[in-house]
Amino acid sequence: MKAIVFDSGPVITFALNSLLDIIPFLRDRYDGIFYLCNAVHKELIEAPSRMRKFAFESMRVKKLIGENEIEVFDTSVYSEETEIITEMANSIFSIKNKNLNILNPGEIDALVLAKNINADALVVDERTTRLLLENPMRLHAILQKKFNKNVRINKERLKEFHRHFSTLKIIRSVELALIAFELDFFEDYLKYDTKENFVEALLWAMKLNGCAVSEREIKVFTKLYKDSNARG
Amino acid sequence: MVYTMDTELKDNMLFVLKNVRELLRSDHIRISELKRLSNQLMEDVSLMHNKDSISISVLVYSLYKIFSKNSNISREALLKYLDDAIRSIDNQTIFRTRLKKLFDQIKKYDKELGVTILQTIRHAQVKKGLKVYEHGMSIGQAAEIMGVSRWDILEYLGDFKIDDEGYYDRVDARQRLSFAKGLFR
Repeated sequence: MKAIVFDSGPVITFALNSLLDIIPFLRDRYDGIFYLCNAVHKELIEAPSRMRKFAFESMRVKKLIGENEIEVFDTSVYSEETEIITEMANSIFSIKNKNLNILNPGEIDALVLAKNINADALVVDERTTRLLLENPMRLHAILQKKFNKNVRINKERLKEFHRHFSTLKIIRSVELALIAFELDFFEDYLKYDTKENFVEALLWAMKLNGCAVSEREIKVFTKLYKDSNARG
Repeated sequence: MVYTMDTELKDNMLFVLKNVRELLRSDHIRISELKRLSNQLMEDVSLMHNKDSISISVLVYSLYKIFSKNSNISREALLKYLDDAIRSIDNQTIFRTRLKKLFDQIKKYDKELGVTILQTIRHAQVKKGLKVYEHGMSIGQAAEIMGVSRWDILEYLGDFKIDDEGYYDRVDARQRLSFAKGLFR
């Protein structure tokens, strides 16, 4: 199925930066469907609707769903698998035989959906999920450092987890924002500032609202557009 | 119900409660020490998701914020409830009732301080959630443990220095961007 699955983090980051319109903009340029799993839908809509603080942002997301810019996939069909994978992920690392529950079922729900529908990509900003998939030894180093204890890795579980998600590709909200930028979503802003300045400001805004992009990566991306400025 | 918790966990909670009590007994409260004590249980919170460790961390951070605003507010009732909580730690039901009394007491400071203590407590929950995240748990997990939403955590994440720069470089940023671009026309 031609689809991109979204975790809640990127949608929240877009909402907090008033950038939700990027979603329909990119949806028009993608030959597939944007999906949310049940758990992500709940986090985006049900939780904030009970709080005044994010209720309006949540309504904006609800509007996108209502207009089918992003659709909810009923992932209750995968609930058993989600439970198994959650248990698997949360038994990879342990301290003194006590498992470290590093991921919650909501995050796994999105991973399981993306894998089962053979999605083109999963959009996830969240550091722990991405590290577990892409650089588990680095996650191990963080856990060791922060707990200041010996953290054991269950290598069989880790291998099993990776086998499960071996074909899954990860992208982040910053990549989507940069693609939107290159497709002229932000062209009006460039009347008033350079590409380099704009990209740097945009990426910092997203970093400060939860996207796990490093300062080093921001410099790399900013330089890309500085160079393109120079080429005219 | 007798509390059959892990001994180390109990010792850690007692350590924090007793030290907070000592601070509140002193003539001049060392505010920075209150803040430090609020982080003391974060390993236990991250590893065991223990409800009482979570409550104590939030409570102590809330006290830090309250006494930062006004170190002269009355401490008599707080000290009494702290003593009660420390004495009852081996009985989970009574211990939790006494922790609740501590929270109820600090909610009474609303008028005195002109702040919404509920907001202070919520802020404390979010800050401790960020600490759980810093320990390597996911944002979703941190939010769930602390009883807040991912929206709350993400909104504050930018103000919180996470000591993990350079941990994302396994997948080259340009490669990821290039792959993402290929998905769109």
